[in-house]
Amino acid sequence: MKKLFPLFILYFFSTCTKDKYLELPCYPEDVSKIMVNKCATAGCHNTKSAGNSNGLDYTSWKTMFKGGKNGSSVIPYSTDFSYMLYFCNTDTNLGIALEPTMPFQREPLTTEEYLTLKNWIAEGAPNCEGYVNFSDNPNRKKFYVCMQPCNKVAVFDAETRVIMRYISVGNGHGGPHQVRITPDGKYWCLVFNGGNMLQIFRTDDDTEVGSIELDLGLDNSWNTVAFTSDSKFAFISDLAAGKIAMADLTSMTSQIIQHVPNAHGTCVSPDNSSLYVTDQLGSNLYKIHLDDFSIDPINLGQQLNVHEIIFSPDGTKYFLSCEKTNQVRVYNASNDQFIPPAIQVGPKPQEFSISEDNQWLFVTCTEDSTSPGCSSTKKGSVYIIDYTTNTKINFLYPGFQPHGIAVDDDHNVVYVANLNYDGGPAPHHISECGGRNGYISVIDMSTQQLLNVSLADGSQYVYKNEVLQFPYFVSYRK
Amino acid sequence: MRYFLAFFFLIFLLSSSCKKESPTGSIVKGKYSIIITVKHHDRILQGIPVYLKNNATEFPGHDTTLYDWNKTSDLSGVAFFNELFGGNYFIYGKGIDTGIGLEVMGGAALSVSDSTTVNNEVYVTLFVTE
Repeated sequence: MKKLFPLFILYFFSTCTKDKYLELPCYPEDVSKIMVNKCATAGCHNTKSAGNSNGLDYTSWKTMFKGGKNGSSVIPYSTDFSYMLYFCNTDTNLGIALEPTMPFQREPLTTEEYLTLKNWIAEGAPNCEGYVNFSDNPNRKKFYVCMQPCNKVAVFDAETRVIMRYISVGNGHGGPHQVRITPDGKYWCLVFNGGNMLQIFRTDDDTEVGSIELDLGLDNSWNTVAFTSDSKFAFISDLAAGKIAMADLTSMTSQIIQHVPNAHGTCVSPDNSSLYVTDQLGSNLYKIHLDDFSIDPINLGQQLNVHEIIFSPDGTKYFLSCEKTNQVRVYNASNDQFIPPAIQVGPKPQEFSISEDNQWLFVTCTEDSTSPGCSSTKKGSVYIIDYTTNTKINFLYPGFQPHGIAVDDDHNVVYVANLNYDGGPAPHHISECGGRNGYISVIDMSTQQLLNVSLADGSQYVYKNEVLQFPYFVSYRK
Repeated sequence: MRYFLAFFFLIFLLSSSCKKESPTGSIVKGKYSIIITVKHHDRILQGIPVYLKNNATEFPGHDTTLYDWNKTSDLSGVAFFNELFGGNYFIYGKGIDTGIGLEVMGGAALSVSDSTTVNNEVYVTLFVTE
């Protein structure tokens, strides 16, 4: 008996793993009758045939959440954006109904069956034990994508790269233009183009903290936000009126601290002494001293139309994306002097992100149809720059009209938000938000190519996750 | 000797009747037809190779050599397989959607019998996607 005791202990602990709920394969009983008997059937959405069915395997609750070639078809709590519902609905009074109607070449689901699925998703699409996917780990690594016309933010699980949640944002004024994570990783913040506030959410459970009224609640074209390294203050730029607001994230108050013409990109110097603001239609960069809010223009020598600015991790230099000259320019942070030569990239370079592990700077060129491999049907590029040597090392077509970009060094990948609003590939589906869906693609930094994903049958496809229309910005929470 | 020749004749008959039919699908000699229209979303696609595998209820795979017959969708997006016997078939389309310049694919299992056909014909829309 004594010999069996260690085995008993081992068994006891082996049943206590934190992923217990994730291992449960079962759907709730009423849902299982539909999913298993009518969807995960031979030749359709079972494991053997999923490779032919858009990669969607509905054999179990767990395989369902792995998603398919266009992402997860079920998003907890989001009946409006769970595209599985679009294809098994035949009554447009109940929601979107798209072809091919599922189950394919069989009797459509009854209204009662459809509503069973819809109500289940509205309740979070729990498994048979009531566990709602992704609700177990507040420290989960995530990335956030804001969809400007839809007032939605998609929260992705960085491990599986499927959408965990769609969060409704805003107050009806403007659309979310930029989503940024505070340096302490605790909050994600939104600025609204045409809006009047900075909205703040927790990263652990994605619930709203509150909002900070900007400029006495006047609607403005707030574009970008930057933070001090202690996460106590945020600075927000207004492109049209040129206002620079400072928001106190502790007292939840704000004030206008300066004016910069055509203010767009913002970045706080690593020593928190200065805020840099780009003039998107001019030849200056502006440096606001954060001790007294005085301002110094930095003459760039010619009209560059600088869209964004980012510092190198060591804080010794910063990079500007110059729309006018199709360049990335490097400046010495100690004296704000240009470090030649300029790095030529595709037309109208936009957003930046940095990989500290690889020492690479990524920049998107949203409308690039002239770089090799790009065209009117393959519009857009991402250039990769070695930021230690200030040299261009590669570029690729990451998807149609790439804009937002975010490096994830933990998984050695880069997330790219492709707008796909004007002439790109037809979306797989529409959504309740309307318009053309955009999509997220992923660059595998080990190959500097788009990420390939394997299905259970061994076939591979290039990762592409459809989101709502105009996914403008993406940020990664470590 | 007579029995010996009769035995060989019987073997010959048996082996010849087991001959694999032409991959063009033209001499299968069954009574059923499958008429397939290839679509990407709401657009009909021409020039898409469509493959058919007999006696299959699951997806055979992306390797098109695993299939028994193939046709290419015509100007109306239709691929037509005739003279088929009843049974389970898997259809699979894989080609380039010239409208977007990307490879598209898709397939479906279907059962062919008197109860699933009208006038021995079954019409299927084969949806393909990137």
